[in-house]
Amino acid sequence: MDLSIKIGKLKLKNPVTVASGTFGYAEEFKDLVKLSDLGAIITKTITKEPRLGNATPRLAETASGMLNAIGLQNEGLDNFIKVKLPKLKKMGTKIIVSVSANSALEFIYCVRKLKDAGVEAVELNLSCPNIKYAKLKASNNEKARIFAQVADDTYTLVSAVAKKTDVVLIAKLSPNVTDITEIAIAAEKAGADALSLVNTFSAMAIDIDTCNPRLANVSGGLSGPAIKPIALKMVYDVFKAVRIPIIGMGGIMNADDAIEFMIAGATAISVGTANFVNPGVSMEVIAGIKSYCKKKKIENLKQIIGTVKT
Amino acid sequence: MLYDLKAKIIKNKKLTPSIYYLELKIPKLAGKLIPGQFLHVRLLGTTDPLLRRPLSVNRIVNKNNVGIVYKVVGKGTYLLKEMAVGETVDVLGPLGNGFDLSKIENNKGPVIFVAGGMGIAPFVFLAKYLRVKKRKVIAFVGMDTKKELVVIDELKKLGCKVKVSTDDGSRGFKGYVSDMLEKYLAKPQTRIPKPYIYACGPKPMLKALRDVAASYNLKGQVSLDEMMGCGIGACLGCVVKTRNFTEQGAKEVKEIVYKRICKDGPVFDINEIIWED
Repeated sequence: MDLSIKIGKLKLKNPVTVASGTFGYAEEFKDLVKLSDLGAIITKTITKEPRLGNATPRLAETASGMLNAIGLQNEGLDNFIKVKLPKLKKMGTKIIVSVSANSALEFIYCVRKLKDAGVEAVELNLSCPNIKYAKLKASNNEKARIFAQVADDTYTLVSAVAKKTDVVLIAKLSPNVTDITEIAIAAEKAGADALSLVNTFSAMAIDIDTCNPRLANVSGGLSGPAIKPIALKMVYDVFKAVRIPIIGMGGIMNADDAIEFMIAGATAISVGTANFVNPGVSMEVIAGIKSYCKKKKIENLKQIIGTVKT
Repeated sequence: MLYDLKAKIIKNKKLTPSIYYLELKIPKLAGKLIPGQFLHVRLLGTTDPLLRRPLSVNRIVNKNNVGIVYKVVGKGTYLLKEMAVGETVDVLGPLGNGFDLSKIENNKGPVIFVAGGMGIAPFVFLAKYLRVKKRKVIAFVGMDTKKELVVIDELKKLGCKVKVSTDDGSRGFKGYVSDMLEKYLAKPQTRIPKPYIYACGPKPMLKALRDVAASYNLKGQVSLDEMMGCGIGACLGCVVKTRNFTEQGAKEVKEIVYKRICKDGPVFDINEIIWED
């Protein structure tokens, strides 16, 4: 049985990755997860300069889900390269570094520095719902939007990085759009090697006693099993619209959920919020995919990916 | 070393209409916990609530069991109270840094506990530690009303002198626990030798306590209670604003840092936290 898959030039030993922001820089999980067994680790997003993050409260629980508005708190690119990256490289699995930036130039700067530090693959976080975005074009007098809500912005940023660097480039897209396939096609045309689908859903919760929003940021991103069917449909739609591989995510709690995403069209999957609830879940997902393949006599995951009968 | 274990419920007993005592059999963990640490408890078989509940360790029983005192405040604790002896929950721990006891080694003064509401939870465990070290402990306990007073007798049995305040005046001092402490400290003889404070409770209480401690130049530690995501330092959900500080007092705020309550805390130096928004 061969569980390996490819994301551009990047070969993963299995399709199970951990989603950005849900696994820290992996060392937090080392007692509970055999890190070298993971297909890949996608890091917490880093930015050029350190970020303090949003005010508190940053979390709220909702039915079968949670809202977060962390605001990309991180220690900045230089500190990441100096302190976190050397440890990550020793973990025995592929490392995908998630990066957010304000402009094409800043993305290029960060990705080049990461490449020089030995990073093979980068996820461009174009879709965090909890930060302020810059307007990319002077001519555009609309309000600033999440980059991945605008096909042109997605194209501009991905193509700029793709032209100037040669790392494996994954664009992480937002579900908060009218038609995600338009954005996905723009990212593919711009030269993305793969797509991460989907980031969290813009959402809110209110305390009815105080009438205050439960998050200091007012709104946040909804994740967890509540979003799974919506995320799954987006993966299914995008799979039909592009040729590049998809890393599917959104409420995956177990191997069955992961397999469902693969049947919908995901080449790889990310376990996200489930890591908070059950820190060893990624190992259970790998084991579950193995036993599914055994039961179904599947030799290669290509026999599953995108095989939904429609 | 972190463990994620299944734990059998040994006791789940009502102490007051809303406060319960839970005892879990966790031989692998029980001996590894220190006062001020917590367990992250997951109810199995549901995704609503989705997240774990961080619950403070109240005591270790017979070296194998962990006792927890919890208040029913939402869906998670409601479902927990409905669980029967013999049923299983999932437990992640040991988590967090406990109270730092090295700070009182060279301090000859009494130890002062300040507990507000369910902030009482970790102090039975801490009192047991301090009894072994033969320390004099005065516990200031604040509750809304006398009906919610729990584990006071355990503290007394462990040699603590207990002073109670209630918001409604149904027992002891009428008012806030920080005001009761202030009144006590106003007598100069109570401050020689200097007491050291360990506190746990809601944020407004701890903020008021910070002011009392500052006005009498007392040192101490506070344990924060907060909703948590992962509990292991990964999600950055349960952070608190902190500053560079010295033990002599709060320094001017130059650099604000969000620290993780679950991993860098839940116990912090009283001068480290920035309470103001």
